[in-house]
Amino acid sequence: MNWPQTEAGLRRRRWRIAIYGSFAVGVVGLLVGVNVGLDLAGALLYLGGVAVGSACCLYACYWDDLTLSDERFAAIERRASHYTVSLIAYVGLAIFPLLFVLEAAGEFTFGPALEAALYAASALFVLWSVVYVVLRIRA
Amino acid sequence: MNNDLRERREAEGLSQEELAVAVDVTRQTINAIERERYDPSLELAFELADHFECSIEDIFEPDAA
Repeated sequence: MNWPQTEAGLRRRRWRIAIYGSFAVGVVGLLVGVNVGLDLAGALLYLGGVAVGSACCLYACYWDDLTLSDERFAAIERRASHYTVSLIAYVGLAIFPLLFVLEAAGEFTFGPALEAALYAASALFVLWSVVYVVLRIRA
Repeated sequence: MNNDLRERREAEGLSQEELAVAVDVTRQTINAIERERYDPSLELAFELADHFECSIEDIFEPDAA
């Protein structure tokens, strides 16, 4: 573990703890709340954690002029998005056409969960296509 | 991409974090470049070259084919 030595490094570390800590408190609070029957308290804790974490992130990035993330992180995010979308596309293309054929043949019926997954995947790729076209026009 | 960033940084007595602050990236990115696990953008390559007062080609060279 490399501990920060510079003032900027220490500030970055403090902001990261504040951001990730807030999100963690919110998520853990929600899970605990739901499991002990305090749904509203858990949901409020989640809302608070997400709000504080997001506010810290916005402040640190836009007002504190601190480099929390840089081009390498952006490149990793692009790769992660590419792999995720590709995985959904390949799995979807491998499964759904076959299921349509089976349904048409009376051998299969789409359940609510699978139907929701189909609509969610379709919405994702419609959105992806719109963003792609906009970026291509602007490129 | 091969590079001699570590040698140049150490010659100046800088830590990875100090160099990162100087060129406005994270310490992890400097570490990844030095270990040749990440090729920087042209913009960052220029920043590094400016910092060490040399050309990009002095720091970076393509992998041998």
